[in-house]
Amino acid sequence: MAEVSAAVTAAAAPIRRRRRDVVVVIALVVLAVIVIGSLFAPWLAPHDPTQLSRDRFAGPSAGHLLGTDELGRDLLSRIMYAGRITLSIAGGAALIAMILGAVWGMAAAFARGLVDEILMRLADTAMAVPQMLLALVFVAAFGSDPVRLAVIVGVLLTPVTARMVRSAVLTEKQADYYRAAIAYGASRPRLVLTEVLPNVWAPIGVQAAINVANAIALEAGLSFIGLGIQDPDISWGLLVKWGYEKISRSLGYVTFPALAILITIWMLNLLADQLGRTDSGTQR
Amino acid sequence: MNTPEPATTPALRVQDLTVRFGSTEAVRGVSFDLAAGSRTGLVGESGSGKSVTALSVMRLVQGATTTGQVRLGDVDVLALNRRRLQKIRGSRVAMIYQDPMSSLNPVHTIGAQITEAITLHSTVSRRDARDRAVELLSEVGVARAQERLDAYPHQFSGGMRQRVMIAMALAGDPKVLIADEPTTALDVTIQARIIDLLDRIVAERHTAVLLITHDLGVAAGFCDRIHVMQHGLIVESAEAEELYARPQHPYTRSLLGAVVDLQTDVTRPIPTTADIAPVRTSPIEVDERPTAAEPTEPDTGRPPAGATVPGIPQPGAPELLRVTGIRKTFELGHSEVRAVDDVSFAVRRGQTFGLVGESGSGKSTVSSCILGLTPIDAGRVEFDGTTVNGLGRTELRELRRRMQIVFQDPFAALNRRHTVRRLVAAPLAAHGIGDRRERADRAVEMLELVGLGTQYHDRLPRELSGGQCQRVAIARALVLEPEFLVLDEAVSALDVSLQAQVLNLLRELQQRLDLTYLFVSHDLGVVRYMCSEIAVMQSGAIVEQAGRDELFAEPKQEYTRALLAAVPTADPVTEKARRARSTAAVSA
Repeated sequence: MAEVSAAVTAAAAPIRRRRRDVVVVIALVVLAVIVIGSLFAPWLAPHDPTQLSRDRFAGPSAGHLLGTDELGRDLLSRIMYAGRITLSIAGGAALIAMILGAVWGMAAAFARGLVDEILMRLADTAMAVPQMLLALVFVAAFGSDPVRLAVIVGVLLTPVTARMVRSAVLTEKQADYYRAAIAYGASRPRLVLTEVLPNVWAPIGVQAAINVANAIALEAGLSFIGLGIQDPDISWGLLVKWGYEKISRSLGYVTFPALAILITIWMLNLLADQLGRTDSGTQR
Repeated sequence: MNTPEPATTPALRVQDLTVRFGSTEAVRGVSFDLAAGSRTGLVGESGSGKSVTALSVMRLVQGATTTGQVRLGDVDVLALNRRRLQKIRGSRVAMIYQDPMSSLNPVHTIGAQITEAITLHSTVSRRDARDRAVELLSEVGVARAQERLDAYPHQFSGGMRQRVMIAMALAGDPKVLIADEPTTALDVTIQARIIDLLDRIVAERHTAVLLITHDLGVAAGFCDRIHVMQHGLIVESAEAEELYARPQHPYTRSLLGAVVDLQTDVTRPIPTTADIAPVRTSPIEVDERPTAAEPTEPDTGRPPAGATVPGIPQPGAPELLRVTGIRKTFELGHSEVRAVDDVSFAVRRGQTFGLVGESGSGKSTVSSCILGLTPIDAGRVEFDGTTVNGLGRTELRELRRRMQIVFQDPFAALNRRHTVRRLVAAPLAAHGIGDRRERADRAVEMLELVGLGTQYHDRLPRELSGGQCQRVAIARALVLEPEFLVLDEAVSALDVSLQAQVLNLLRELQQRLDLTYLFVSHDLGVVRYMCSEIAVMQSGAIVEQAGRDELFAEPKQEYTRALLAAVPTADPVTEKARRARSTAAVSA
């Protein structure tokens, strides 16, 4: 049967792969537009995000593509500038989670025994507490400027990442190629770095995409309840908060920043989903 | 209605069947008939299209364009709508698969699964369905069927699960039963019983059985008529006796030549054709196919083995490995499994020592213990005078330069992200031998030794065939110039022609490099071909150990005799006689 299913998958693969490629390309293009638009906001934004005008709560028009806010500031420009902060926090947080999580997870997977037990119970305990609650505690203790926020969110995402890395490494450790490497006398660092690591990059990458999405959601949540980014800095979450407060005056004000969050998270998840599948497709 | 002889409509007629996946044709114009009560074999290596052909009869192939005709009696299968198709599956034609574990649902009882199969095809009460299930289970040889109905699949052994699968397949009383490699996952003694069962089903129910197998021995014992497939084509069809006695097509000849069984001449290399291997070739017409060399000729370009048979140690050769009273127990939840129970043996320099047994006999654990990959509970492993168990990590690493292992699954044993060159150089890097350049050169040398040219060196494992991967694994095992090589089912996953190539290669390398082998396998034919001394394992212990000639000529233990009696031979006349004898012995 293995032979048949292999034949079937191999043969049906081109069609499925094409569809997958289309999805990946769309997600990448949309994300690229959002990321470039945000990071290069000072050069790309049509207006100064702080420039006031009389045109308050305006709807979308040629002058203001997404309309204006309560002070007549251009909403598109503000979303782009807010994206700079939101995406930097999310990216930084994901990076921190990835590095800490990889070290944590690999340490557990390679040590096994008591060390593994302690490290994983620690992760379980951290995961048992709602992330938002922990975030509140940390923000209250350490403050919420963008850098601290990135570190806090990153630390919060670490246990999940560590668990994922550990299970990916344990799977690889079961493989014959790993046993073969032990049998030809590979040292421990070699086992970790040249044998296992190349094979767990893919799942780590997938987790990274999911982490960025979760970090965006977490930051937005914190800012929305007023504990995240503070004026005069702006983030998507903060814009949603302000827009929500003025919802009776303008629908666009709350909708467009929320859409920015929604679309970014959606595309990241699509990407993670497809990346995960692509990797399993490379194994026979 | 285009049947030439309307009086005797065949149970299954496949005409000009072509199955296309995108631009690749897996099956290319296959035609054959199955008469009621006939035993037909579809034989070929992996990728030959035999399983796709079988699945097409049930219309179970997804993502493919199928053309041609499949008729079950008077039903045109390819023209049926989904509902009608569902009706004929199970009632007109049923199928059993290679892996009975994954084909049974683990969360439902056997009884529930069989009664479901029964109620799908007839309107009977639950009680009647249950009675019928008991009947079916008894028919396929499950003892105490009434009680076993409430058991779950995991409570059955592999062979019993396959019986349950067969019972389910029979539930709808099909006219045609397709058995896709039904015994490949089973031990040789159980394999024989399942084939007996299929035989009885044909005799008693007059069902037409289509047996799909890569095993020419199994096909010889069961089939009346055999179709040989290669590259999606039936290249030869004949009555079984005729096919084995006078194979016409070069491919059939080379396949039969490559079979290693208890009749194989151990003094000569196995005849192979190096150019059978490529599986995914573009369509070639029958006449254009590269003609195989005469089966009696050895591999092209390889020196024939000398007068001495490889694997026999020189007289007075010193012991290289001594295993004394090793034990290993695994804890499985609350129970313990004695995987290795007081095993002792010695291997002399230059010898090929065989460790043979059925699945679960502990043979792989022994090899893992010898290499220190699995710590032992008691006993001692000595390699060239040094005690291996209890060595520190650094000493063990040093020792591992001298002893290496080749695993069964060549894909799993290679890191899928590394190129062939890097894979082979890895052991050198691990021991810090030479600089990058020297290591690469050495790897290339080894790859040439195992017959992989430069065009393969930058490929990833997934870009190689199974046989090529196993060559890479062998090259990697040899790159440190070890004296001792453990071959743990190293050829079991390979097709016969590839197996023949790898076995020849191993014997040749042994003579050239003065190697000592521990050859672990479940295949007695292969063990006989390779090993001069053989230990038979059963439930963790060695039950019999003897030299090749002695063991195969006059086995002392009942278990060894049973094992030997169950090995199929690729010759219909002897094989059918052997089966008749053993069936009589079992029922007596």
